[in-house]
Amino acid sequence: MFKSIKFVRVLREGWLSFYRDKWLTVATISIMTLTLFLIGTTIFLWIGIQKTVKEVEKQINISIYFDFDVEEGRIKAIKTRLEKKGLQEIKKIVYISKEEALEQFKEEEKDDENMKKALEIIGENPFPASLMITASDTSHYDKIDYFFEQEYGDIVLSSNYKKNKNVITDIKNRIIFLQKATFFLSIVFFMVAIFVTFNAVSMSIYTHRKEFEIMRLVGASNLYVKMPVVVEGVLYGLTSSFIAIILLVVTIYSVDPLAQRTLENVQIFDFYKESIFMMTVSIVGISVILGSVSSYIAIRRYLEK
Amino acid sequence: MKLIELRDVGKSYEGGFTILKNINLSIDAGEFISIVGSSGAGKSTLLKMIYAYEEPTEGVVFFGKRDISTIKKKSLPFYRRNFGTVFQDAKLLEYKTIFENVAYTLEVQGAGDEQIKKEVPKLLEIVGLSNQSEKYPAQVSGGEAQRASLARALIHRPRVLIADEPTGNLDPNSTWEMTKLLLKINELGTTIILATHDEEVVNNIYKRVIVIGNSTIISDKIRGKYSTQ
Repeated sequence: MFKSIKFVRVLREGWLSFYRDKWLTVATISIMTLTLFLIGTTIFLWIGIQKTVKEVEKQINISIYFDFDVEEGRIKAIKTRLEKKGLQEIKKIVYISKEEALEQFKEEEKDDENMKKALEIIGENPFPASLMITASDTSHYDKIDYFFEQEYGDIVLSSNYKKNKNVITDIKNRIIFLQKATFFLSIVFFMVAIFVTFNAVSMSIYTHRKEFEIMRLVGASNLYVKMPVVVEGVLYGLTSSFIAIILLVVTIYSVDPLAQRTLENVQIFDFYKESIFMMTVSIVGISVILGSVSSYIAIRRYLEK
Repeated sequence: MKLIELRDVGKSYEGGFTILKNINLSIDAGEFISIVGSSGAGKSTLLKMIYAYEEPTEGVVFFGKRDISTIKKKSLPFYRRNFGTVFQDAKLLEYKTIFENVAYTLEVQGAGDEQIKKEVPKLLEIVGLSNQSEKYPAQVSGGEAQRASLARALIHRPRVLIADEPTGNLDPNSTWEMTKLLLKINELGTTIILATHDEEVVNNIYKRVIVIGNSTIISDKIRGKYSTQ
């Protein structure tokens, strides 16, 4: 039974060990801070890419155009049906009437005199009513297009899916590549982080190896020797994560104006503020786990006798 | 009453080097035993096998009636609480004061703060370190460090005190003081096993002497003297 009195002593021993050897503590924390900064940057990149992907996906949609003689009421009924108990793959449907389509065209082409003249020559509204559909995932457009072909083939004039299919597929592939690349990069950085932290903590423990022998000789149980070292590892983790977060904030804040200039108004500092909770929790969590687990593993070899 | 017994104990290392063989030894509670022999004779190895820091390659070590090879690894620290240990180098924790070093033994065994505050100063007074209690090991002399080590070894009232060359680094005065302390502790009932090659210490004590030579016990006398000549 590990009594509460021992728990307090373990915390005190851990703190003493962390505090007493200042140079060693500074060296270990410096290494861990750099590693965590690297991890923080990766997490930031990961969250950024996920968010950008979502933004891009939001902007992808297809339009299903209906025959000119199909009444507005019928198209709206299809919309309502699909919204209530339709395809799960559909995230959003917007009805665009013939008039709205014409207005949109005029707005988009307001500077093009040829287009204006062409509309005057035609004399009537050449745009059909349509449903603009956003899918819950870019891979679902094929299924949605097929669904309209099968269910409403008799009233559907056309869809722009086939025309846009290559663009959508291209965007989808780029997204997948970006996600895979970030994931791979994260794994590499995490491996480096684990390796570097473990070695830094091991070095720190190595310098105190004789103390562990003395502790055991006076009757300290393995747990009593181990736990202060784990507490020390947690303190390394907390301190270095605190410094790493400050470094990260300063870096992002400094890079923000440059990003705004080069990436068309992308405000990465605002973006950091949005994900600050997740970033902080991730960095602190990772650092505490890295520090404590590394310490726990590194000390085991000194407790074999 | 028999406290420790070694039956046909031997210790060899990889490569076939035998440091001890055919050791048969019985130690009663309350005895004062000096184990003597030249450097490298195997005195320290013998002690380590008693407090289970080394395992014999042959034979069995008993503590009371228990074969100590049956003690699980994680229980060894609890077994070692039967012993207090003093070494040639005091083996004090450098980052703790003399008081904290002595208190540490009680702390790991779960003693309360009140008990620690009461008992540590008492023992420091007995070993003559009351005025040095707030100093760190690096700030005291070799003799004082060794007395602090002795206090740490005794604070939890062990059944056996193991002293491995405790006077090896001490000047004659400190050696004599340490010898007197060991005798006093023994008078109070603690079994003492002292390993040394200092003939003056052994002859001043004038109690049971076990001589180790050629990797085994070559002499065991109830009131022995030792000569390196």
